[in-house]
Amino acid sequence: MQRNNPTPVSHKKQKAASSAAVHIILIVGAIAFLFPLVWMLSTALKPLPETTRIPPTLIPSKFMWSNYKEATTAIPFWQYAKNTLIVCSLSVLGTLISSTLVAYGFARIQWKGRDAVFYLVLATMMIPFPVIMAPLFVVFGKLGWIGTLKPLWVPSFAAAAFNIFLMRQFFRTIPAELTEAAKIDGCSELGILVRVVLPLSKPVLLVVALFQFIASWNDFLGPLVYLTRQETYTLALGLQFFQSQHGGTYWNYLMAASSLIVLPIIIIYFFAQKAFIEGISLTGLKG
Amino acid sequence: MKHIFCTFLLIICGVSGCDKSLDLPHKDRIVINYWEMWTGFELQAAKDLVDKFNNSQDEIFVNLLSVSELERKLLIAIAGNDPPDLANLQDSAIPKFGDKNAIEQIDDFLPLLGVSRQDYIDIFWELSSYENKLYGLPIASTTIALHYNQELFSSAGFQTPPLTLEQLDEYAKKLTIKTDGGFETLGFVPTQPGWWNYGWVWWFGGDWFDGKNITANRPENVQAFQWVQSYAKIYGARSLQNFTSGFGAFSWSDDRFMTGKLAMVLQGTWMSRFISEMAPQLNWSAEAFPSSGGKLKDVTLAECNVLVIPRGAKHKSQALEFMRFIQQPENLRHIALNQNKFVPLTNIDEDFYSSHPNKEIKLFTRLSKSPNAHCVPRLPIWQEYVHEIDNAFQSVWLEKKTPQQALDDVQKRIEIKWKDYLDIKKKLPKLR
Amino acid sequence: MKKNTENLFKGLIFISPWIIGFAVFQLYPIYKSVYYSFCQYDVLNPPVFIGLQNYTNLFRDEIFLKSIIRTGIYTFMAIPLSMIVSLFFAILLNQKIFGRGIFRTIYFLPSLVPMVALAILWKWMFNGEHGILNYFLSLLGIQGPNWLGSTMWATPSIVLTGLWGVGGSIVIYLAALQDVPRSLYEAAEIDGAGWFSKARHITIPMISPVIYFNLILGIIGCLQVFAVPYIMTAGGPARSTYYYTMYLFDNAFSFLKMGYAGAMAVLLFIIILAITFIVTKMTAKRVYYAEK
Repeated sequence: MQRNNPTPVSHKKQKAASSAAVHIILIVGAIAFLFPLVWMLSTALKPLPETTRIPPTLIPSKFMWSNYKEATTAIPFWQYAKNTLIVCSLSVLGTLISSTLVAYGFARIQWKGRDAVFYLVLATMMIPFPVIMAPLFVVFGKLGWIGTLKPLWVPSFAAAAFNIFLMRQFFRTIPAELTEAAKIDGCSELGILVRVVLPLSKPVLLVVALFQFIASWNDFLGPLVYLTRQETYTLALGLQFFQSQHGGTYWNYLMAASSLIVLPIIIIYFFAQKAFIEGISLTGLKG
Repeated sequence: MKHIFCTFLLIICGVSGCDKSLDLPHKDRIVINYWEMWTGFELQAAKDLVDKFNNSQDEIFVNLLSVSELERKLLIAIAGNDPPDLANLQDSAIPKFGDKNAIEQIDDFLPLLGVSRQDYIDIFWELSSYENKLYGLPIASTTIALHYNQELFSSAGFQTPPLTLEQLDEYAKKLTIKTDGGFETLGFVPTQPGWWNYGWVWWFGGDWFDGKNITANRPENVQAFQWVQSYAKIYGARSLQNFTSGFGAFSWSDDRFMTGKLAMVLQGTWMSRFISEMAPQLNWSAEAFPSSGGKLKDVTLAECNVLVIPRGAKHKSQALEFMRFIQQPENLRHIALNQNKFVPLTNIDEDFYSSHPNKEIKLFTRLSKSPNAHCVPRLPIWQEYVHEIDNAFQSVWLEKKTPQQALDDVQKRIEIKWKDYLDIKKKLPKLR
Repeated sequence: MKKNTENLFKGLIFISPWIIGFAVFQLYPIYKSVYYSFCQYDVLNPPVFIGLQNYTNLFRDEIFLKSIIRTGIYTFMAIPLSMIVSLFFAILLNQKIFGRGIFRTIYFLPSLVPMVALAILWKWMFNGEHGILNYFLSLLGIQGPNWLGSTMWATPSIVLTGLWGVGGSIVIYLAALQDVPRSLYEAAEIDGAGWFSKARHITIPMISPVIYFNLILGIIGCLQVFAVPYIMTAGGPARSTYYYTMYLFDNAFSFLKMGYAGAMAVLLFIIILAITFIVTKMTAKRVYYAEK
């Protein structure tokens, strides 16, 4: 600080004032962002007549926990939950296996044309699902997969571009000496991947697994297109089905069912907050 | 890492382990899936029969599913090679499904089903067929007729329902009571309930298709649309719109006929059920909706549900077995009584009419046998056609186009589509 | 030489899941989309070649043309709004303030809510009669519209619903902001730069690659918007929220017009490529890449 600050005191005051202003804005914003979630829970616990009462109540006059029971029996909720879990876990498994292999191929093996192919991988991120969903439907139909959960999880065994990218970035940071040493010990490439690289890559594996889990959990268009049987519905599709049948009336049950779908994701978030934030931050750093 | 994998393996084993418990209760039976379009009391009627069937024998178990947006989902399931064994379709979908070869032709199974053409009222047999091929059997059947409010009629001094359309217009004028901004009561409005905007042409002797050509702008149709527009002109489309709570939007609780604000409306057999539920004190009656000049007698639209076997169904013979069961007169009666419709059979005893919840059910049945009973044109491109008609109807109603213009536009657009369709059909290898 | 071949072989083995997946789940379907677009095809019967008819039909199909306009309007509303909101909060959250972690969590949480739950929740809040939003407006003496039931308000409602999930972008911007060297701000402060001028001359240029990236992804996402309008309005009222992908979906899966849907898919792909290209060109001068 070589220049003369005119009046340090007023500067400080100004800072305090601006910090207070920032806080106020942030608090107002936070209320706006949080309110819908609160309203969801509030509606979920109200008796039906109270959902349409004017003025509305924030805290239900009576906590109707039975709404949850009603909501989960009005649709085969646990059946849908089971389907969703099958899809999620198989997708995560598929993604982890395939994208580690592929990322390793791009990160740790030198081969001709590698970078060109890698750009192609990145370019495939541009292909929107609606462009390919109809022909895929025809393919799945010929394979006899329509009516099963296969169309939703089998493709995850073919690595997705974004996961390959994330893992490749991470694998490249692993020092070459480690893998060279293993190579000298006579380890195959697969051996190096499993014994040396993977144990060091837990953070990125967690990020990829989490993102895949959430993507599968939230997916709506895929199930809508490929699941023709009610007993194979996932939660997202089941909820929409419930909504289209009883929508407009039983808002309390709808909100109860919705909150049950939101809850697992939020729990996962609180357990793996760090991985989440890191993962999302990475999404933005590709540019 | 190991932990993650182990957890996943556990989850997968866990969740797929309970997979088997699903089919246990009827594991020794052949399970056939039956998709039903209805919900509520209409679904319950079907459910009764499914239960009855399941209890009557121990080889087949019918698994009834109420499916929203059935038409769309059924088409996809068939295309995806995973259809149910049975489905209940709206008659208007038969040409589309039949044309695509998406449902099984059942002509050859009539002896097995124990039924023949003579048993059925002609129009419902037609509604189950396309291009002379039978694709299913009709179940609950309906027609539509003029419903009128007797109290409003007698206070206006009318003894009988209108006999001609012109008389209906007169009645409507006299029954209408205006207030400053809108209407206290309205005699009649052709936009209510708004489900058969294409239907009015029949009361003028018009139609949309003559078996070969698109006939959207034939003079009778133009006349019908002129009649529709006359209501907009006399009463003002805007103020009517407020009265009828918007175009196309419909809810039973808002229905103006039931609240006694609308004296006459075109409605179907189910109306009596909603009246008894929501406006039991309403004093109503029904009569055939009068035609222009009274020239045509007993004009109506006939509709029914058709039980079909989708192409690629895995248990076709079991599905036929259930179809045979449903077609037994007492079972058809059960559905009709509980869905507030009538049976598509020609012979039905007095007992059915006397036990039916709709006091006018005889009228509706009579209408279905009339030579002037119409059905939705048997066109595979009807979906697109009706969309254009609705557009034309709306622009005529809002007086944006003259009836002639609007219908000329429909004619032009649909003729192209029809020609395209025929061209492509010629190129298709003959499969059927 | 031998080593090279061996490595190539190894590399290809390792990336084979991607190669197979790319061929089966992307390349082949794209090829099929193009192929179907020249055919009449309803899955149930073999495809019939009809040349360019699907494309010529598209350009005289009013629903199609309007769906493009509607999707464009939606994109033009959603993109700038979400960009401003997310940047605004990211800049605020980047300051050293009390409770930053909690704020960040709160802003981020809604973006985790599954699309279906999000749509249903907002459908409830936008409800014309019993919705909480109209109640709040009535407290201010405003008679709220029937949001999702009005042709004028349905699209803004859907935009607003999407805005609730900007948490993801906020986090992305935050990460980018943290990489902006403090020294730049300090230097600016010495020059007496205010909050706005710091944002204008330092923050935005420094994180421009991330903004660019978000912009592209945002546009691609908007052009494909489906789940939220499908659930909230089903395209209504009077098709005012019937966007491109919904019409594509209907053609493919309601009418089984795979050829027509194929033509739409091909056009969508071309549109996306073109927009990416144009945006890249337009922003090329303004995006600042630090040497990495």
